[in-house]
Amino acid sequence: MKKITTILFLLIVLALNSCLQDSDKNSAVSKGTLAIEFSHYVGSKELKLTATPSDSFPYTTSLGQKFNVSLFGYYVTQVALKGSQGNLWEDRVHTSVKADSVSGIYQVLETDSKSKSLSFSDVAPGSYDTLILTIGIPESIVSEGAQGGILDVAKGAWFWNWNSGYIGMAIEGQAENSPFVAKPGLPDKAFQLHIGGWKDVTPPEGEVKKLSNNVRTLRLPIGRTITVSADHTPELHIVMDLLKILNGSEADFTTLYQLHSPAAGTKLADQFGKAFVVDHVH
Amino acid sequence: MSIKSKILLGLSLVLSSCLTNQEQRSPKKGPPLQNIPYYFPPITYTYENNPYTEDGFELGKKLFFDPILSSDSTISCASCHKQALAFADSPHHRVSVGVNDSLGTRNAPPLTNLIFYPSFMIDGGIHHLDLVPINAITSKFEMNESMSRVILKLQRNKKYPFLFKKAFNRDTITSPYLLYALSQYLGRLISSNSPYDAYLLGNQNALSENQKMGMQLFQTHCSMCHQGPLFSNFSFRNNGLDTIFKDEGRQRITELVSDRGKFRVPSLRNIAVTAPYMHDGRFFSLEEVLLHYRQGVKKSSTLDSILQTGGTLGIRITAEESKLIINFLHGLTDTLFLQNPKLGP
Repeated sequence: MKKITTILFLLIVLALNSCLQDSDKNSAVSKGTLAIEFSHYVGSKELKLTATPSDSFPYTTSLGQKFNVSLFGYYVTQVALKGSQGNLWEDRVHTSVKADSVSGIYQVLETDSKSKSLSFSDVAPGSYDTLILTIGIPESIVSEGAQGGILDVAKGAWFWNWNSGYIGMAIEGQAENSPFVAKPGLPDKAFQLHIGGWKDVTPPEGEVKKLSNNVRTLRLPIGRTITVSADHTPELHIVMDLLKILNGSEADFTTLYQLHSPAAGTKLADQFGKAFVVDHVH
Repeated sequence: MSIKSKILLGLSLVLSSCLTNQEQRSPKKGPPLQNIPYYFPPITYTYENNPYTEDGFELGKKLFFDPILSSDSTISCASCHKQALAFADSPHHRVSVGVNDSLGTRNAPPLTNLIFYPSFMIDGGIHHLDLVPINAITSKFEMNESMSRVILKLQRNKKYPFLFKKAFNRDTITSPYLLYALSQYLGRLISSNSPYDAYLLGNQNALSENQKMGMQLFQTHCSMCHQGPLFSNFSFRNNGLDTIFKDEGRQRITELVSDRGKFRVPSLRNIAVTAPYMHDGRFFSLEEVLLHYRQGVKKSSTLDSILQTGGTLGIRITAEESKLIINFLHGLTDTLFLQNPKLGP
């Protein structure tokens, strides 16, 4: 009888244990912390926002067009670290209508210095040499329907309602040769470049695939191998150069000054991979 | 109970609690509805995120009929989506009237069987039912309200905070829950009890002899696009209404000239009560619609190939055949749905 009770006890412990392991695989391993800091540049100059309307155009594109920037930001999600041994740590992305359950989705805004520092406290210890991140909100998130928290449309999320989806990156300001004429809320010479579009979905019968997906997953070399451990918190410093996007796409403010749909945003989104660089590690 | 069976019971309890736990983490997409005919397509709505509850449905219904969603509290969803008309607008409204008597640009569509749709709006621009009402609420031609102000108004209202708490167990109202509630109501607008359905389910007398002849003609001439149990394959087509397009249609979403003037093939369920027809409501009767397909199809670069076979424009049917087809289309009117008190205010 005693023997059987012992067996019963052991079996239950085993079952419970496997159950627990299943729900939280790495609970026994201590986690490391990673910090990511974003700095925004326009060529060699650090980005400084201009309150518009303004006569000041501090930046110049390779086409010789002078401009200022009044708003700049983008969504970052699916942050991951990859090591040369194939080891991978992925930030937990969780979408929910419950604002307090949303995780792994960030909006970096030039106006909000706190948003430019991301901190991840559950990084699997190890050595890594590549940072992976996604600019924009991908299909896996938008296809879930209504969202809370950072993606709540009533709380200022950058959302296109007629062609449903989120604006991945927004660059706004004035350009000296933008032909835009003032409207309520927007000054003369305004430009608004909203890069959105995620639809890469299987089209209905009789339709060919033809929608623009401007969400970009970037694999950024860190430049050296970093070690994350319980007592070592590397800080990756990312420099993002706006001019690389504008010059790389040959953006011409005389024709491209109101961008509010996916197709024309593709050539800008194609530059994200060059615009974001891991500059150094602290 | 033997010791052996005690062991088994204990183990199975432990294991089953483990399994339930996992199921809760990744709930399966399952039909939340009873009595959907077997021949209906699979549900596309993400019920796993927003499980159906009676409280959620009732809240969604209250919101649907409440002008609080509009900027001046004059227009509700139901103002332009009337149950007796399969949730389409009045026959004399080519386009609907929003706040400040402003006119929209497109005909208000009926709202039925939405949880089976692959995309929404006649240009297919919206990919998820939850996100559809944002357009009506924020359009300056419709409710002309901001999402943040709607939430504020609901939060300050005497009844809504309690109703949201009851439906979703949240203390504060946020926009996704407003959208969830509306989806729960909209999701139940299922029309599957027309005479045609009764016929499909075996009642030979549900359709008249004329309607059965009309059905044959419909299958020959119309079902390439108006396909399946919802009478749409949800593709985007130019059906020859214009040569110059005031509304670019699907091109607005794909930004391709080859999609100019294309609109989604509409479902034809309850079509006899959802006049006027076409994206701009230009035809007031089914007779006009059929006449268009017989004689009115106009050539343009994106005109559908089906409407210009053998070098002739339109569909080759006689006036007599048109009548029979219209007769059949009347067999798609689901009176139970139009009068279902559970869907009303």
